[in-house]
Order: sequence, then C-alpha cells, then structure tokens
Amino acid sequence: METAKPLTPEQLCRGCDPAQFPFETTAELVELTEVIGQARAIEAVEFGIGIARDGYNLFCLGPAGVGKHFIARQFLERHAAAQPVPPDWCYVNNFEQPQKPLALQLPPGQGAVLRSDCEQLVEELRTAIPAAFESEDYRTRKQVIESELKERHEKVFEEMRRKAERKEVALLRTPTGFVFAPIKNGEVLGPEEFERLPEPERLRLESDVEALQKELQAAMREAPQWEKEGREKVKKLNHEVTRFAVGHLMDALRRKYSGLPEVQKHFDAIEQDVIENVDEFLKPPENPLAALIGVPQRHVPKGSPFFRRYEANLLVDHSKNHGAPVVYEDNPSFQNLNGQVEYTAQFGALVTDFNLIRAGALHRANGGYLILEVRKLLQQPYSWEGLKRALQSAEIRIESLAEMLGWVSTVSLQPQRIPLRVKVVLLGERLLYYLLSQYDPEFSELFKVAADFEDRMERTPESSLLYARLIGTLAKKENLLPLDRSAVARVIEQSARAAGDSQKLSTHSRALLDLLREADYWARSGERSAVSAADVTRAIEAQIRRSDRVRERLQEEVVRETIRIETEQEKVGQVNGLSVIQLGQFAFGHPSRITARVRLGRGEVVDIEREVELGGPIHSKGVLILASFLGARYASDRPLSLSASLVFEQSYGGVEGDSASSAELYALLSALSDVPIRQWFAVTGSVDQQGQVQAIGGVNEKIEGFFDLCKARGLTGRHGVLIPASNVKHLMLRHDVVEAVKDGTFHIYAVETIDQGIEVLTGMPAGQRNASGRFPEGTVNQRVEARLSELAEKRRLFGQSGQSDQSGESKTSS
Amino acid sequence: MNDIAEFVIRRILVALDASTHSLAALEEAAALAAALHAELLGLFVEDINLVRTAGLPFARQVSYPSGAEERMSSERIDRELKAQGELARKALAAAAGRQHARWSFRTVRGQVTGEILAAASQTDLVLLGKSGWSPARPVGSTALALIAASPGAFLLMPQEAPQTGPIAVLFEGSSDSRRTLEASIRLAIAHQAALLVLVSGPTPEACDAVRQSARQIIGSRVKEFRIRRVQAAAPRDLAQVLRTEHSRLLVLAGDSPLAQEAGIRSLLELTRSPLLLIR
Repeated sequence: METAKPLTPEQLCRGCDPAQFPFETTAELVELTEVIGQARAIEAVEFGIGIARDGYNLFCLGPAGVGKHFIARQFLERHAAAQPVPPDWCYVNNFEQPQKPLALQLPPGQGAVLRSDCEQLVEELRTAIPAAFESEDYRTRKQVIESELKERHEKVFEEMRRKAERKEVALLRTPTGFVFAPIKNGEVLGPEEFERLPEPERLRLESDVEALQKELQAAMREAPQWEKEGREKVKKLNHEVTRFAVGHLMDALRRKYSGLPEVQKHFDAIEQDVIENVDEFLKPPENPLAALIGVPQRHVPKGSPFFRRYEANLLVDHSKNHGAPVVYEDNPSFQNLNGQVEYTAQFGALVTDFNLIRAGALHRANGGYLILEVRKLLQQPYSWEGLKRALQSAEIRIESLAEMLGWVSTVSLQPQRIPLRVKVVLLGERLLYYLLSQYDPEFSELFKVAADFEDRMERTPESSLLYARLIGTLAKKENLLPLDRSAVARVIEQSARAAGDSQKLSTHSRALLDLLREADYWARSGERSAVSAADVTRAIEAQIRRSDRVRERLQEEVVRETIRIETEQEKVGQVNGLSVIQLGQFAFGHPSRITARVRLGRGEVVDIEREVELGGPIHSKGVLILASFLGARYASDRPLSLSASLVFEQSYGGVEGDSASSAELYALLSALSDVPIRQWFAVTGSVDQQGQVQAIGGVNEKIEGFFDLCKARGLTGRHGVLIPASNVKHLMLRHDVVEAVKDGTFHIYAVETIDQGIEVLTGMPAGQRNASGRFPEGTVNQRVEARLSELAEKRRLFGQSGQSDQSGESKTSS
Repeated sequence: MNDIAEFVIRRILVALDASTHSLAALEEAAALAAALHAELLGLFVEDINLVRTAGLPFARQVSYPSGAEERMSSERIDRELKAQGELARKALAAAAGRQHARWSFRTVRGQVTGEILAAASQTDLVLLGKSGWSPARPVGSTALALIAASPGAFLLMPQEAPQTGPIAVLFEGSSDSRRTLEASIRLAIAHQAALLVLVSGPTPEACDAVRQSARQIIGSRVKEFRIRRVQAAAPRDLAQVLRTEHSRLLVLAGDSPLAQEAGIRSLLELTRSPLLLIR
C-alpha cells in the first residue's frame, strides 16, 4: 500500500493560461453565432421544430439560466420567418343563434379590412336607410296604404251613419264605445219623447237600432283584420324600400369578398337582419346620458348598441406579421391561453356579446409557435388541462373556468371553435419533465421531443477559445467593456469552479452574464478601458462578500470557541469532518467535530443523529456500512461485541449525505485503537464496505471552509485536508489556498483507502495482514483487532455468568 | 299697425273629451298659455245626447274596439262621463303644472258644439284636438263645425305635435294676414323659436312686395327668420314645405282661402303641424 502524499499546487487548481489566447481583448474576436456546448439539445430543437406531426411538441429541459428560452426562441424565429403567415380570425354575430358567435377565417391582413368595412357599412346604412324612408316616393306609398285603411274605416262608419240617418237614428260616441240613438228633427229622443211615440213607431225604431247594432258589430269585427292587412302592406313596403337602399351596399361587399363564401354568407345574413330590423335605423339617436350612467364602458359603441351586432370583432390580426408567429406567454392563465369572453356592467347587470370575445395566446400563436414556461403553466389553475385539451382536440374552445367547472349555469356565449395548428415549446426544469412523464399519461403523447440542455461542457483548449468568443459576444450585446485575455482566463477558471470540475465549463449563461456585468462595473469604476482579471476577481469576491454573512458568523463562533473545533491537539475518538451548507446560490464548507465512543455491546453502531431524527437516510446508510466494514475486517470469526456511538457535536440542524462516513470511521478506529487523531486535519469522503474512500460533492467548498478556519487561527504548516483521490479532478481551489500549499503551510492529501487516511491522521502505520493472517504489532489495525477480540471475549464471559449487560439487552424469562 | 296690436291672447279655451287627441293638445296649450302669460280654461262637456239615449229601454252600446254589445243605463253613462271629466281635469292640472300656466276647469252638461261655442265667445283662442269622436275621420266633425260657427281664433292640434322647429306663417299682405304675422312674431319670441314666413302673391312682383312688407313688420324683433315663397292655393305644396322645414306650427289668417273648411281639411290631412287660425 502506498502512503498518501500531499497534492502538488498544480493539482489543486487547473488554471487557465492567458497566453494560450491569440488576442489582447475580446473586442478583436469574431462574434459567436452558434450556441456552444448544447449540441444534443440543439439537435432535438431542430428536429422538434422541423417535424410537422401531431404530438411533436417540444419540452426544453434543463436548469434555469442555461439559455433555454433564448436558444428556443432564436431557432423558432429563424424557422418561422420562412413559413407562411397564418390566416386572420374574426368573430361575427350569429343572427340565428346570437349566443353562438361565428368565427370567420380571412387571408392575413384581411381581418382589419373586414372590421373597417363592417363599421363603414353601419355608417352607410344609418344614412341610406333613413334617406330612403324620407323620400317622397316612400311617403306617398305609405300614405296610400294608410289612406286606404282610413278610408275603409271611414266608409263603414259613414255608411252606418247614413243608413242610420235614413232610419231617423244617430250614431253617437260614448266614453267607451258607440250607441245608436233615435232622433226626431235632428234632436236625440229622450225616454219621455220616445214613450210618447206611437207603438208601431217605437217597435220599428227598436228593431232598426238592433239591426244597426248588429251591423256595426259585424263591421267592427272585421276592423282588426283590415289593420293587420294594412300593417302587412307597410311591412312589405318597408322591406322593399330597405332592400333597395341596402342592396347595392351589400352587393359591393359581396363582390369584394368574392373568394370567401363564409364572409359572403355573413353579409347575406346582415342584409336579412337589416331588413327585419329596419325600425332600428329609423329611431332617433339614443340619449347619450344612458351610456354615461354606471361603469365606464371599454367599448363605447357609436350610436345605439343595437348596431354592434353588425360589427366584426377582429380576434387575430396578422396584418403586420411576416412569417409564422412566435408567441411567448408570460402569464399562461387559463384565460390568457384559451381566450375569454369579457363582460361589461350595464345598470348593475353584466352583459356581453361577440364583440367582447378576447383572443388568447393559442389564438395568436395559431399557425406558428407558442413558448411557455412549464412551472408558470402548472401554477395556473386548469391551464395545463386546458392546453392539453386544445392540443388533443386541435381546436380552441373559449369558455369560462366557472362554466367549465359548473360553478355557474347562466347562459353565456359559446363562440364557434377555431381549428388549432400550433407547436408548443415548453421550458422547464428536469424535475418537472420527469414528474410529468411519470404522472401524466397524456404528457408523452403530446410532448414527444425532449431537448435536454447541458449545464456543463468539456473544457479543452478549443472549447476555451469558443468560450472566450462567447464572453466577447455577450459583452458586445450587453454593451460591456471588452475583457482582456487575463480576464477571460479568470472567467473560464470561475466557470470551471461553478461547474465543480476542473475539466468542465459551466453553460449557465445567466450566471456568466451576471459576472461579466459586475466585472464591467468594477472596471468602469476604476476608469479602465478593458476588464482585467483583477476586476473579475473583485466581482467574484464581491458576490461572495454579499452573501457570506452566515459563513462569517459561523467561523467567528468557531474562532471564539463557542463552537468547538480543535485544530492543534491530538484526540482519541475525535475527528474534524467537513460539510457544505447551501444558502440560496451560495455554498460554503464548514468543519464539524465528529466523535465516537465504544464499549462492550452487541455489535451495533448507534448513529445518534438518526436516533433523534436529525440524520437523513443516506447518512444512516453510511453508518451501517461502517458497522459492516468493522465486522468483516476485524471480527469475521467472532461476534462484533462493541456498542459504538457516533455524533456530530454541536450540530443542531439535520445531517444528510454520506460524505462524513470516512471521518466517522476514522473516529471509530481511533476510539477502538486508542490512537489519537491529529486535529489539525479535516476529512471528507464516503467509504464502502471494503474500506475504499469514494468521491463526494462540494470538495472545493469543504477544503476552503477548513482552510479559512485554520488561516483565521494562524497556519502552522501542519494543517491539511484529506479528500478522496477520485475528487482530485474536481479541484478548482481559491488562489489563496493554492498559494498556502505552495508555501507549505497547508496540505491536501488524496486518499484511496481508509488505511491511507488513518496513517496520515494518526502518524501510525495502518498495517497489512501478514502471512499468518495477523496485523503487525504497533499498527492501528492490530490495536483495533486486539480491542475487538478483547470485547468479544468479555462478552462471552459475561454471557456465561448469566447476567444481562448494561446495554439494555432484554432477558427473557420463561 | 293699430289693428295689429289688438290681437292679444289672455284666455285660452281647451275643449276636452279625454281622447288622446285632446290630451296631446293640452300640453301645447299649457306651453302656449305660459309663454303668453294667458289663462288656460279647461271645458269638459258631458254630451246631453248620450244621457238621453241611455234612458231608452233598449239602449245598447257597442264597445270599441272589441265590438261587444253592452247594456246602457243612465247611471252607467253618468259614471263614465264623470270619470272621463275627472281624467280630463287631472290631465289639465298636470300639464299646466309642468308648464307653470294659470288654469281653471269646469264641466258642463249640454250639446257639445253649443257649449263650446258659448264658452268660445268668452275667450281669445280655442284649442281643439285635430280629430273628433270618430276613430276613422281625421278631422273631427265637431272641430269643423266649431270653426265654421265661431268667429274667434282656433288652434288645431294633431295627435303627435313636434316640439321644436320654426313657427311658419302664411303671409299674403292682407290686413288679417298682417295681424297673423304680428301674432307669429310674438309666438316666436315667446317660444324662442325661428320664424318662417311663407309669402304668396299672384305675380312675382306682388310676391316681392309682400316679402318687403313682411320684412318691415318683422324688423329686428326676431333674431332668426326666413322668408320663402309658396303657392298659397295648393295645400299639398304648403304641406311639403312644412315637412321639409320641420315646422312646429302653421299660422294662418282667417281670410286666407286655405282657412275655409275644405282647405283646413286637406291641410290637416297632409301635415303633422298644428294649425293656428287667427281671425
């Protein structure tokens, strides 16, 4: 077994040499037009955009800030520009069923023309119709009809009067009708005069009056029929006059829209409706005050609200578009996606008509592309369901949520559905993609293309140069100062650090852009013409400074020994572990004191964190591996007879992850062997059942966390950290750490096995089994094995004495 | 000009029978009374002929418009006439109240024409609904009989009179015609309306003279006036002018050929304008 040696400064941070760049500043670089590091995602996007089949919608998945939106939009716009402009859509009144407005499809740009034609039509009708009805010709014809009726009435009454007069009877009007009265010399006879008449005369008058009454009744019964006939005639005349007045206007419109039979049909319906409702055109304009009462109206109709029915509601207008639309809906609520019917308040009641139908994002994107953020989509009630339904049915149905859920049952508009042909591009995190795939069976039917965006890319000299061009392009786009080559190198180093790997670069463009903007700020404050490495470093330090309040407080408490972390002495059963604390975007390492105690027991290793539910399952798994390692290595032929307890001292939050399992094992081995551990070291790394040390995350932050503490207390030249050898490639340490290693005041050991680690930590050899299967004397392993044998023997003796031990082993009584 | 000043309206008689025609006339009468500071005298005549007829044992009424036959009795006709009179009184009170006109009202029982004529002799102007009791006849026989029998001024109102527009007056240069123009000027001032003078004469020269004379009479008293030539003898022409000008009232002199029964009858049939006859 090789002894672990400290790493060289070169292994601690793979620097980026500015000399490799063939430019002075990024201003000299050719702008980058392609996207770098996302070959897989771009292939998927191109495929998804290109394939014109149902269900081939796109889901761009990847962490926030890698440029999913930018890339998707760029590709969509390029592709859409070469595609035809989709048709315009208007909603118009359905004269047969007003609650079901009709959707009219028009060539692009024609929607606005139709709307203005309809407005103008109403204006013209409102002039032409009253003019036609004012004409002498119409008046005369109407007068003739009315006179006919009057004359007919007059003739009957006149005849009745004459007939009555011949029989010496007068026709009189009473407050509620008519009466026939006998007269003599022009005077109406009263009862006395009548009585004085000879009887034959009286009888004659009576019978005459009765006959006249019958005749009048018969005539009056016919009067309603005559009036009805008169009204019919007037109506027919009105229709004729209206048809004449509007005919040429409608003919002109029908000719204009000759290629659009649906529009022509609508004009036919308008013509018929105008003829039937001609009275509305003859009414004087309504009192404008009526419109002022109540809530101000969004759409104030000109003149009477009646004429709104002839307007066209332009829902989608492509008059100014070139190519297919690319729409991004920032607020994908159910209504904003599917469109909605608005209402206006009129005298306390909510009213609506087809003019108040509003388009949604699906309408605007129809025939093109719709970009949505899946998180926002899922946060809006019923938006996801609404979108799926629209895609499945390939049509847009406008209905209110309340109606869809059955919360209201009032009659509202049911606009005609519009056929939908759209490609939807969803943007979101990977988790959401996998959750939807798992739990929504329709998801994979509708979103067949996944464009998985990388958050890291390979770091090679070639890719570094491309990255430099990306930096230059972003700086130009954002109007930032150019970066000199040292600054570029520093940015690349920071990018590798952000990727957590010295062989990778981060593709997180948002973080990159933030860093460039902030470095530009510092360069400008220093009145420099280009951003230098110092500006980048200052920007990085300022970012850390802004968010490291908690780290600073924690370290302060350690230095003040409120939190006890020992960095000088040697202690048995105690080791410094390292953990990473993530606060928002900022992560930092923090040492923890891990202690182990052992005594006689039944082979259990108690994880105190787990016992009090402060430890997560992965942590517990690590502890169980320790027990297994101990048993297999040192007590394979006898019971493991210890009871060990492990604890993170002064830890009051939860502990998760197995990166401390090697540290715990070292503490245990120290406790068992009674060999002290050097507290000037800190340890990270997980361990397997064979005693191999395995890679962990956040190695840079962990090392820096311990370094900062030691530095605060004063570096003595002994301090150091043990990391798994497999983490060496991830090292991108801070310059001050590298410098300290260079100066020999700080050391970093890469270990592959527990044996290598324990040697560094104790200064005592670990020991290998010799030919007789025994560990040599004076080694840690030998002392551990001896202690475990001793414990096993004690336990055996203890068991023979028939007494229960103190570990709480239950005694069964029979 | 002295004879012109003689035409003063202090008392306006409104003969009421509660029909829609006479109720429409009421509003205009009240407005006129208020404008001229005249008193409005409402008169409701309970037709004696109806009372007598109701006493006959076989009297039956044919209801309008249902045509149903009903028994007539003295009590019933009394009640109906009283109710009708009360309606007329209320309508008069309401119209006069709205226009702030002075008013009085009385009910008499007798022959309709006779009673109105008797009352007309005590007043300066008689206002009548355009249509009488016959539902079919456009010009009431009562109205025409009254115009023929009474020497005073008459205002004949249609069912729906326009509330705006100029006051039109037919001016032919005669003495009656000058009085008529003078009265029209006062009405135009009172109503703050424009004046439309329709002149006519046998020759263009005569017409010009008449036009000149009208101009002199009007002077600067009316802010807005126009003079227009018409064929006085042709009611159809006159009606056409009134319609295109949207006139609110036509004022006619009693000696105009149009003011005879036939002329009035055709004018009223052809136009919706109220007609003021000054004699």
